[in-house]
Amino acid sequence: MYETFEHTADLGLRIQADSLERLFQEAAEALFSLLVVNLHQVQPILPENLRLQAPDREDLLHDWLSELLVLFALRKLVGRRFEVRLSHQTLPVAGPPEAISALMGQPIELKQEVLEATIWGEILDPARHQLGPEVKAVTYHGLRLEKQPTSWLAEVILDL
Amino acid sequence: MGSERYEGPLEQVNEYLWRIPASYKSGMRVEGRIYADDRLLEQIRADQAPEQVANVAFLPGIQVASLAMPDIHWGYGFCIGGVAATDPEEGGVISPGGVGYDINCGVRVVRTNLKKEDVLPKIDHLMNLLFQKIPAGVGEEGPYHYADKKLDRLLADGVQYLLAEGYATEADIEHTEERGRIDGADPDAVSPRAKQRGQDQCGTLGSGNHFLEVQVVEEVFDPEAARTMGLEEGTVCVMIHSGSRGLGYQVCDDAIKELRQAPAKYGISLPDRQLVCAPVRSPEGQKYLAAMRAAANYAWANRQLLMWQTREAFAEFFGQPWESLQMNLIYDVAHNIAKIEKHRVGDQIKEVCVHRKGATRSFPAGHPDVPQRYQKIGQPVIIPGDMGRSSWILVGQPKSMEETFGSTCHGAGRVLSRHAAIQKARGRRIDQELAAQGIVAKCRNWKGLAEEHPDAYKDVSLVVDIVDRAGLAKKVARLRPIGVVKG
Repeated sequence: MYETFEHTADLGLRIQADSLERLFQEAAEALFSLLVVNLHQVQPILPENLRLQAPDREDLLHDWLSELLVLFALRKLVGRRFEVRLSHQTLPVAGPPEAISALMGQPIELKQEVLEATIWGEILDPARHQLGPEVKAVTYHGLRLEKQPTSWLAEVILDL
Repeated sequence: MGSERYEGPLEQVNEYLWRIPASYKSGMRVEGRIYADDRLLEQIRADQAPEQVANVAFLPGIQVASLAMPDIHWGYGFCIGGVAATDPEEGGVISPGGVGYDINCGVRVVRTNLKKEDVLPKIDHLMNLLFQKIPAGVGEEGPYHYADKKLDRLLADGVQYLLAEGYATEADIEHTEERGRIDGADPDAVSPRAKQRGQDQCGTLGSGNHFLEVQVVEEVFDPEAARTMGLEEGTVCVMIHSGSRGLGYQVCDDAIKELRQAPAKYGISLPDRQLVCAPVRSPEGQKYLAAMRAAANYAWANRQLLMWQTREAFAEFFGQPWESLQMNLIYDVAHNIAKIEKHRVGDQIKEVCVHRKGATRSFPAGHPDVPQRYQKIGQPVIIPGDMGRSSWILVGQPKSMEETFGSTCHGAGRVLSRHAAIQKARGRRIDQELAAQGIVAKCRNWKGLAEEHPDAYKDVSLVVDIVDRAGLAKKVARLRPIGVVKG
């Protein structure tokens, strides 16, 4: 379930779902239903696989929506159906010395949230698909993802 | 979070200035200052924009005050209409959120020797041609293609590269902020993905609040300055409002992602994640600056190519070269950018990093960065209005150097969210309403037109009144649209 909420310059998405995977799927659908007004006429025929990892779930949600936005911008792929699998991964710390020293005092391994997804959709066809407003980006402003007593809730503000 | 009213302190300093004391929130390094009058203040209090002014005051190295222009509205991280200068000597930071996703979103205005009566009878046909020629709308690609080495040169040299390509003149460069090429741009700092998003979009308008308008000078307030710009009552102009398109959005998104760990690394505590930042003098800060400047050069090139296509369309329509229509660029300003500039702080001249997020540079007469032609009147400041209401041309004034790091407002400022604007416009034909006011509007997306309809914005004249009376910029001319192209 998702709805939009008010933000003066931009647009907020509020998503609620009974599982975290479902929440990520709903968020993707919310985004594409903004980008393409008649999303129900988009056929889930082309599969696209995606794998992402991020330090926490909020970042993962941000990155997921950002990646979908880039798929739409660069490849004109309109997502209609989304299969999402979430897991964790523990990585040993590697990288430039300053990144490691920034983590001084913490265990030298990084827990990462991992998303693997298949997006089913089709390539944008301006003759059949009615475009909505341009979404410039997914912001971190007011980004929320939290477990409620019986469901998951997220809020994301998009820059339009 | 929702759009709650701001209930924090706002103390009146003078008729046009209000302050949020640094004691409001622990962590504020300087006070907040908002330029507004009684009428605008009620609108400003209606959401959390003043809270954002206070949050920006947390940034390390911030100088004097976290400033907001009268077109302030609620943004993400920074408010729109915000100005913040940080001193790199004092650990001052650069924040991609203080520039925004649309890096170097800005506006330019080109004059013509045509008069209102030459154009008005044919405006419908002219707008049809412009709508056909100017690529606009989501994902629309233009006739220009810049990839690989060509794109790198465009990112490094902006409009100066287009001069070599034959799409710009020396006079165009002279009348563009930073001469259309900001120093220190590094194409290698721009990700392959951002470059890919940029290769077919240079010379396209985009959507949202971006526009191309045919306008008529309706009233002149400063005849000498207007004459210097080639304007008098009835002069037909074209105003272009666009930015760095998908390339800029991607540069900002990449930078915010890369800077996720920077506040922890540099011991910076922030009240909002969207304010992520790094010291100007850090590898992360330098990399963002180099990429942001490349995107800024792309944006200047974008507006140049939009103007070039406009000149070609006018030449075709009026059957004479654009040069004989005297379609000279008056000026081009950036209103989402961060720049290293020299400013007086107390009794010192400092080199500071000025973030302008929805704010326009407003340098006065005599400033070395003002083009020769405008040395005596000050830098032209272009304030796009909203459909159906006026746009303005102003000139920078000395007080902007004393109070706002050489900055003024950038536009009208939204009062209705896009969502509310669509609700309000439901069942109305915005294009027909505009036609009744003598404005021909062309838009690919009717919903897009609804989001941007005039009721969604503050009255730009109120905003301009305040900066004029506060001495930040001075009114030169008011322009009224007669034709609009939107994405």
